[in-house]
Amino acid sequence: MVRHAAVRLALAVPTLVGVLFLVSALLHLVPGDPVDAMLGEGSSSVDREQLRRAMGLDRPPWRQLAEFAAGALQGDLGRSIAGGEPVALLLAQRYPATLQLTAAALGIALLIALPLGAAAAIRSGSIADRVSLILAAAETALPTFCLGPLLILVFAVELPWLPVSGRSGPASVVLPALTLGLGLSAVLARQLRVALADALRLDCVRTARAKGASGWRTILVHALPNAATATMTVLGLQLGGLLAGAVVTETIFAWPGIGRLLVQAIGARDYPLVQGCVLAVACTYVVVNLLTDVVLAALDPRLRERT
Amino acid sequence: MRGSATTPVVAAARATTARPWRMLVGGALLLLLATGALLAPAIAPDDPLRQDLAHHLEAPSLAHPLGTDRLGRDVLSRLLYGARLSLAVGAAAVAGALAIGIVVGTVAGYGGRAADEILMRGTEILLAFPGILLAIALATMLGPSARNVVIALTVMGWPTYARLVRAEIRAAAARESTRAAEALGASPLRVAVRHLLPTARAAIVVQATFGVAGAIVAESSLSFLGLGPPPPTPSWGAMLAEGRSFLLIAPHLVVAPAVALGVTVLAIQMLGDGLRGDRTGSRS
Repeated sequence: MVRHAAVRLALAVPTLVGVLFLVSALLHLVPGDPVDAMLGEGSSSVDREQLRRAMGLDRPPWRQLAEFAAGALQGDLGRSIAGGEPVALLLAQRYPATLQLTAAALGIALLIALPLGAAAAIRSGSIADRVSLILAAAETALPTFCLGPLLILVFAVELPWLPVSGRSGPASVVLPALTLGLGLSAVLARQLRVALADALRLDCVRTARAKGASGWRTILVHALPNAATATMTVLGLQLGGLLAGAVVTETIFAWPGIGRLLVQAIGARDYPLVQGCVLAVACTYVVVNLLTDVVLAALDPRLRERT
Repeated sequence: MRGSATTPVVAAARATTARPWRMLVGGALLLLLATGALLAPAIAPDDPLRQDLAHHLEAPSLAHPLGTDRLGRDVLSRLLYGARLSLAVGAAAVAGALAIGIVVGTVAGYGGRAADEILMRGTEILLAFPGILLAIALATMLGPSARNVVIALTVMGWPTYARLVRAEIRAAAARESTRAAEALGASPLRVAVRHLLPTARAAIVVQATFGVAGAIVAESSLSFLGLGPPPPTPSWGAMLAEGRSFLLIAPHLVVAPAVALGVTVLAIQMLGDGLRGDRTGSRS
């Protein structure tokens, strides 16, 4: 178990180094001179030189890379061009809001997906099965940036039940979390339906039923654990989608998280801040996938043998 | 002879006797959309860029079937021209990603262990960026334009195809027929092109179909964030972003592009589902 976790951790290191490398290289994709792009036409040559030196752009590319990587490992991601604050500080301020939003979205997704997926699996072709299919279709057809404004239109404008945007109190998280979580719930419900339907056909489940276990007990105690691993694998992969979806969702609802910070940084051509946000989200994703992997292996010993 | 020639796609389609209507409906809808996009200059009621400030934010009427936006531009016309952008960007991005993915996947799957390790590590790093985040980062740095959106989506998309092609190629490489070709002295390139890739075709076509839907959504997301072609170019994502400010007084500005995008994505998904031939709903 510990060995498995250590192997997974070791495998994640080169990936994280690659991510760091890629993010630091992003700045060099800016056509022309990134300093010009950031400061605009009317900037003085003194300002330009100062920024160039502050960002290390006067040094050879390989040194810039090494310095960016070394700085990032010590929590130094440079300074924001717009406000001059350390990028790491801005990220730390915004990170909790994004965590809150994604956690709430995950909660909503599970709350919808578990009963719906289970009901769909127990009786194929039932109303629950149809609803989960419709939800899945709607989810693909209505990406977050369509769903968000439509939810605002219904639940904040037509029926003034919830705040339109901002982060003030528990009610304000409902609409953004719903926007973000509905998509995930559709994917999860379909996945759970397939996995649970398979699990219900297992010999051990049939035996439990034959020995007189009640319907609910059979499903919850015998079938569900067997369906959990496949569903959790999908969940881990989808969390990345949740993080990326947070960028758009936070923008729609003026939610003060990393995603909104990223979009603001894009608007201000604050490239160091853009790099910081991208790095923060990508690292979170890698770590979440790593954790999912380790948790799965802890639950299911069969998975450990594969490494 | 010609009549009996069956491509893997057609074979895959025939296997789905369960829901042939899905593919038909999806294909017909898509054809309709593509025709509308192609003929936009002829059938659009108005110039998509012509402003008419005296008639801005008007609700749907006979003169403007889907109303007008904040500058008095005809929403239906902008929607039709936006379809051109969406479909063209979606197709171009998938074509680019597919081209890279097929080459990389084939080399990784049939080019020996070292090549496999290096290339697959590379895809892992790119896949460490969740979904659209990499495209956002690239589009930000490259600057907002349709060309750069295609580049960003190509970079975002190719690792998925590379991994799919690699898996298919490895399975095909283990077949007797491939061994026979190798034993007869066929060059690795010939084996790859004539024996391995054809077996991967069906899986690639299905994945690419879903990929177009994904790319169209991604393009709209980028445009929504202001990273698409700059205004006044009509694009669904940008129209949605603009319409958000007028949710109260002109909801049609959000509803129209949202429905257009939804119908397009659904049509492609139905086509893909039909091609794939299984009934479990899935995300592209």
